[in-house]
Amino acid sequence: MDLSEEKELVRQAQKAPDAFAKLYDQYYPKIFGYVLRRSANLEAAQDITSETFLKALRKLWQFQWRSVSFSSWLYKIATNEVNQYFRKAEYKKSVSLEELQEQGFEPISPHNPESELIEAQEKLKQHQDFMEIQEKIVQLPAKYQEVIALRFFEKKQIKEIAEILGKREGTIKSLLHRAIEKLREAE
Amino acid sequence: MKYEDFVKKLENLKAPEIELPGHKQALRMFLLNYGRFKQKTIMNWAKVLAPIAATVLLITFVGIFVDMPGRLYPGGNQIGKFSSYEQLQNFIKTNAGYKQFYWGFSGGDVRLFSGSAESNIPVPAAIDDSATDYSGTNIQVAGVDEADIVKTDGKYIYLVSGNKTIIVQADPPEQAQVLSEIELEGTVIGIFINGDRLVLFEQETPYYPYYDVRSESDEKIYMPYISPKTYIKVYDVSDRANPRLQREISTNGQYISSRMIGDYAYVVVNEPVYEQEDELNLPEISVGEEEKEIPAEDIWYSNVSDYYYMYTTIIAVNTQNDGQEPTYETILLGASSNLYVSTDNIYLTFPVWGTDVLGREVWDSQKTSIHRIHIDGQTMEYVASGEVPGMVLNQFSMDEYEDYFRVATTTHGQTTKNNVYVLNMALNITGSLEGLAPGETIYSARFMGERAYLVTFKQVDPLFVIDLSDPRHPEELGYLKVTGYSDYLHPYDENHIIGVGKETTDAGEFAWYQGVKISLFDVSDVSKPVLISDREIGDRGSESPVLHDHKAFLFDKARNLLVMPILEAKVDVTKYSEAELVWAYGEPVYQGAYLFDISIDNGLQLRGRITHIDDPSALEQGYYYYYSPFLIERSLYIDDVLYTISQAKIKMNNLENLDYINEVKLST
Repeated sequence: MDLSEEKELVRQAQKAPDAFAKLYDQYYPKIFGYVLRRSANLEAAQDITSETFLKALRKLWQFQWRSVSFSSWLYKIATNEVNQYFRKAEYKKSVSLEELQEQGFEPISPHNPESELIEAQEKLKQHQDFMEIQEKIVQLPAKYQEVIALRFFEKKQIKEIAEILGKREGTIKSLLHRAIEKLREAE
Repeated sequence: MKYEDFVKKLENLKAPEIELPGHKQALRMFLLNYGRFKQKTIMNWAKVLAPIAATVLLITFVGIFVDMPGRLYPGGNQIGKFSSYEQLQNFIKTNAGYKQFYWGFSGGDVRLFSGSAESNIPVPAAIDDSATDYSGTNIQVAGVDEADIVKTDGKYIYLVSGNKTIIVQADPPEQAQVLSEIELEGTVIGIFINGDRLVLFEQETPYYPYYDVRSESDEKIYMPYISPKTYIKVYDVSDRANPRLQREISTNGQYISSRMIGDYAYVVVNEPVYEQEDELNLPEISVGEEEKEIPAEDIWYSNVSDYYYMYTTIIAVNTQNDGQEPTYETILLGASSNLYVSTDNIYLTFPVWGTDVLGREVWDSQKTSIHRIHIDGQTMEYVASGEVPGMVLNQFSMDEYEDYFRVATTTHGQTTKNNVYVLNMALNITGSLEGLAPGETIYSARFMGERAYLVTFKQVDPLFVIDLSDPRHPEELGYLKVTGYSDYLHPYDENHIIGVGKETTDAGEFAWYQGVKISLFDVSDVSKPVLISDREIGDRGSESPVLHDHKAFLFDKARNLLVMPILEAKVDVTKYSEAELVWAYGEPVYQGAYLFDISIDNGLQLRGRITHIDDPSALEQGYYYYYSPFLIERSLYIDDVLYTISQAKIKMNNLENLDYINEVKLST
């Protein structure tokens, strides 16, 4: 999907919610991936992703292309949601699988959320190096977490990070520098 | 580690790329159908998405298509209860062909699952229990109250406006005021008032997918089903300013209809049978905090065939005694489409669609399946099931009289035909009159003792009079052909009948509907019914809720009074040629309650009309009429005061001269 096509889709989706589906299909993997790499928690990642897209759908009419691209706008919502997640302990609590089951949620096989989750959990564990460093990243203040994740895991350019976080490029550069220093100290 | 090396490490770190396709799909469906969800600020995502995820990936579902009657029934009886869950499961699986996935998504129609229901939203029948004289809901059977959006007990008016149920002190009109409001999250479909008890039926806004969601591969994705919930809420309103919720009973499923007989409210709810991972759902009833699954052993089955199975559950609630547990009866049937209730029996009907050898639906063999549930207070028992050819129009097509059930049907096919059947209490046909008015369709029916009146229509309106004095030999006594048709028939007295419908202009093969028409027929000479008076209001495009909902109709013979809400449209004759005038739609010019004097001697005379639309400029905006909160929906009287009710206000006028007395604004 090129930018002009995306612009057109956003315009359509602002009027007819079903056009939102294409945008969703395009961005779900990216947003879910980003959120998961930041939270390292599959259950939380599902909720935050859900919240992100719902907010996007609800606020789509407010979205204007000239300030940021749609992609950056989505990352921005997701980033806010992740930060909120880290601030609120109960966010984490409300989505545990145990609680899900207590609520009477009985996953079914083969393609059900539980087996899907178990499989995903296994995959996540295999990324030992990542998980080790991720544990340290989450100890950092949110402003550092954001830039590290966007730069190194999402492979975003400084310009794009600036757009997502709504900060100047120079600010992003210095934030990134300090973030790397802090993380290195923690190593 | 050096800074540069550390950056390199970060850059080369292999970050996880993990996907959750189940979550992706479930969320996608949720978002596309978001408008249909209840809008909550805080989502419990796990709860919201879990059922979607579970259903999305389930390909076998219900599709249930029972095309061979008599194929397998436990015990071989017509009616019985299942002996176990396994038997229920077996019954469904054996009878169901899984041929078709059948969620009838019909646009934005909320009632998805059937030709469903009595869509009528139901006000009480005139009961003179005090010094005041007031009107009740226009009901079909004396002693069997029907829930409505407005009720009165002669002193207070209880009404549903938006998601609020409002209690208004109505008498004396000069002191009329809102006393209290009950605000609920769901939609209040109807209410009953019984002494100091107010009964509300709330339908939780369900999740109804309406988009045809396709995945990228264009493979059809089946929509998830989340059962809506129906709540029965009983309030103590002894203090009208402070209604107190006394009991709450809820069940999964769609509210179909309700009645109140004496202290008991009976509620009929439908829930489709569906299967997830080899498990069938069972109906659930919650009383207060206690939730109960209705065991298979309590569920009745019958010899039915339909596209899909539904649990039809009738719940009886004592509205006065909170200590008495609600009772219920569940029957595994098709989608109930109509319901008739006498003081002793509930009759449920649903269409049986015929199929040809290829399993395709055919119109010709269409039948109606009828089920009788005997009721006596809290005791209910499913006692009989039967079948008649043809299709039932609405509750007025049915009647019970001296231990016989009578029903009028239309059989579609090459040539439509109309029929009347008389059945005994075992629901076996004892007598029939078939083939009335070939090519026409029943528009309205009314049974009055030993007679039935039928209006069939194609180009003109024949009103048939049918004698039912001999249950074995129903007989056509006579008919009258006039232009127009009636959608609703109301007895004036035993020899006169009121018809409400539309005027029509014959156009050869069909007819153009014109203004709203009210007729008064004399049927004292049964062989020659006579039209004694009629009134046409407005031109083509005029409408009245009475045409679809009898509860909007107010009639009192002793007062010579007939009141009904009408939207009057007028055609600007200068805009059209003479030929065009028959089909030209009028512009709305007035909406309000039209009051008629009605008597045998003077026929129908317009006494006056009342509107809630005070701003005349609003009249020019046609759409305003269809969505305005100022549309009068109901009217009632208490002593000599006429109360007209819209979503926005209650207006009080003198019943005789229509002088304005007062009005109460309703905060909607």
